[in-house]
Amino acid sequence: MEDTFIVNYLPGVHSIQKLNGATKIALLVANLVLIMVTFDVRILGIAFLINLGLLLSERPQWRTIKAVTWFVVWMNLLNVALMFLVSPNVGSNAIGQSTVLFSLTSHYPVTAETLFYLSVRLLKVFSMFVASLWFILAITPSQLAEGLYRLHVPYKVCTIMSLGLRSVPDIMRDYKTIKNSLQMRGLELDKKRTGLFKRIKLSVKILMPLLFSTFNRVGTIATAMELRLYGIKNQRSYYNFQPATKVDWTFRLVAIAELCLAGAYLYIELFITKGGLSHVWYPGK
Amino acid sequence: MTALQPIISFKDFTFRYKSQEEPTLKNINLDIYPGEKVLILGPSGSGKSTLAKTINGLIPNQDKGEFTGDVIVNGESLAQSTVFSRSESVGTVLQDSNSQFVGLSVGEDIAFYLENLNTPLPQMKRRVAESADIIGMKNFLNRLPFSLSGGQKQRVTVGGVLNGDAPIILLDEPLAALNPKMSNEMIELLDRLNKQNNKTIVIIEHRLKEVLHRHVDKVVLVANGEIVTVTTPDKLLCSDLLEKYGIRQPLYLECLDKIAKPDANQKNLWDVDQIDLTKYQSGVKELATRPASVAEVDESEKADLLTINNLRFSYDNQPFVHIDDLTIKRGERISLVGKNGAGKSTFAQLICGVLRPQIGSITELGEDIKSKSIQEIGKQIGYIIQDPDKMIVEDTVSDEVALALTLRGFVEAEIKSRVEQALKVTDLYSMRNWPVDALSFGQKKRLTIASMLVLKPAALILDEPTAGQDYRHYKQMMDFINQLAVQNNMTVIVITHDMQLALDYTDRTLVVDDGGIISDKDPFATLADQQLIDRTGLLQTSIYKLAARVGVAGDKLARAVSI
Repeated sequence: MEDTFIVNYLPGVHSIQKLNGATKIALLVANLVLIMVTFDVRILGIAFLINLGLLLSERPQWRTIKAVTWFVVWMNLLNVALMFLVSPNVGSNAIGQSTVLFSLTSHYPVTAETLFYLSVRLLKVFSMFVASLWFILAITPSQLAEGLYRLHVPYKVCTIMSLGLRSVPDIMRDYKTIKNSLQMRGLELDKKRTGLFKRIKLSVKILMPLLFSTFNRVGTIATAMELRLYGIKNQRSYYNFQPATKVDWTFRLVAIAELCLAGAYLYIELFITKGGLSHVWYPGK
Repeated sequence: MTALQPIISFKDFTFRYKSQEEPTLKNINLDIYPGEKVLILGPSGSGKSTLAKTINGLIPNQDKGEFTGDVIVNGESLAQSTVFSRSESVGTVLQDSNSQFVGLSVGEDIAFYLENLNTPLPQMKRRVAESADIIGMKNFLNRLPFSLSGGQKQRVTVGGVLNGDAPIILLDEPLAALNPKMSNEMIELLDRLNKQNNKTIVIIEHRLKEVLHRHVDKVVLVANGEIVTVTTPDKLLCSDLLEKYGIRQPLYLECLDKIAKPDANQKNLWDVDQIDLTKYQSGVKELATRPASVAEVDESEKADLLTINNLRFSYDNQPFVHIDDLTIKRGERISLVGKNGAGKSTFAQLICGVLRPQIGSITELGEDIKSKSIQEIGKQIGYIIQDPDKMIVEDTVSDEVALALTLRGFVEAEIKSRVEQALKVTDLYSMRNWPVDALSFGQKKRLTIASMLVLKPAALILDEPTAGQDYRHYKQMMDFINQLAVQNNMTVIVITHDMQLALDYTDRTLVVDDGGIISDKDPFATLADQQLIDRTGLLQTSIYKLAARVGVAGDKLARAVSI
């Protein structure tokens, strides 16, 4: 019923999904660091391919990721377009040369460097998106909590994250129930019949009972947890802990290699070529 | 042998919540001994849940207030207690089976207690497996909470509590959200824990007959914050206290009462399978052979409310609901029963237009609803969901009742008169300016009904209308709905697990199984159909057991008693 919901609650069957929680988190962090430190299209290209490979290895259902993918793609295309509108020379300034291809108006010359620069930016954002996506599809909330705890995050933080994700389906169900019941009483949320402003105002009506039922639920969970000794010790163990296997160690090595690559890149940029963090590699320059 | 020490001991205990003027518990004196199984019985608002909180330490640690006297649990006085220290002696199972399910799988939830104690993994796995075995969930360790029934979740919580080795298990209205079959399984589990694992069991409930599915050692009757009596089930059942405090007697006793009042020395009064029936034999037989006095109403006279033709509905290409031919008349009182997931709610949602069939037609009041919006259908059919908090959106009582009219753009004067009328009918008029938060659960339930009645619907669908209410309130509400139905020729469709409700308040029972309607007859005959009962997990009421023991037809006896 909830198969269009992106968070998994049961560990999947593909090898990335079967890794232990800490490995997945480490691999994600390494990938994000590598993507964040660089504007070098050669490194970003490799990172993008690695993450795309990881994502495809999970054989994601298109309808599960469709909504979020379109959202990210459109938001970032919009973002890049706005960036161009605000400063049409952003790429030329960053790269330090200007090859005008054509001009939209006298204020908006389109340069090869700007096109290149904006494409690199897009590649960077999409790489991060693909990395987050395989991670979300690979991890269950319990593994996330257990993995973070293993990486020395305080367990109360871990619990809040997993409980939050645990209650999402319940909240979605409540939302549907409340919405249906209000519609039966005459609430009109159809785009064709009600204006946007009114629809927003009416949506607030759904949110109030939803908020209250969620608060009540939080209260009950907190009591139930305390009655079962939650918080009595500074440390806790995790039932779903799975010991690291050879596959885990292989992926941990990949993560370390990526971090090394990021480190090496930073070292070269900062101390050898002195290009700085915003340095954009451009072919032929 | 020295006298046994009580494991829970209330000593002249009085408690007042910080936010309240009057004490909620007054001069409680009560001893519970190790290995006992005790039922704390009382109507809503009697203070029985407060009593539970003083046992597990939520009072005064979480819910603040003033107390005098003491509640000693396992040698520890209330003043010294913390929630943690009490949890080592008392394992608590709360009412809401979903919210207290903390883990993301059965195994994790059972393990939660052990995780918090930083138990090493191998030991934890072993203990979880043991507990899962006891509660009969051994093969469900990897299941998600979303795929479990309320009864299964409740059992998992009991399993989690077992890990603590606490000698006492305390259950606060554990049966509230369970259907009769799950409720019996729960009571059987508690009985095993009491007998085999030597746990002291304290059950807080208002559902006497469900708890008495198995023997309890003593019953503590609580009302208005005081203990009325501490007695055995047999003695309680032949006293007149139950009626006085609005708790329903088991049905077979209602039946026997009609023949002769049981005397105080009668043994095994609590158990319909063991009670001595010698002096009742002839009386029961006579009752069962009485001709049914209700005149058959000619249903064909009534107009159709809805007809369904050749309907097919599927979720994600999985065929589910299939109804070839069904007609419901105006003014009919119908119960819709069946297992969890059989398709009852889907069926109701199809009628309301929330879901739409892929094939087939639904005609309501002569019009096909295919082209009608949910809002238009909602004018004719009101759907009251189980939890009133998920229906109530406005701040005050009269605004809430007016909402459906305001949303539909009725004129001011019309709104005013209809709201006034609906509030008067539902007996909420004196509270019309109250904030909604100040209402009790039962009043909120009435409010949701009032907010539907303003539209003057031709039918009301009520989803588990009696859930969360004690007998007195449930009876008040159902009597009132009944009256409405008769006065306005309104159809009432009740979705329920409670066959008693079906017998008392409906004339026609539709049994849903696997998306189809497999039986359509009156509730008495439905319950007499053994094959149907085995297939759908319905539970016969105790009248049918009584009839079987005496050797008369169950439906005849049930009909005779219901008059």
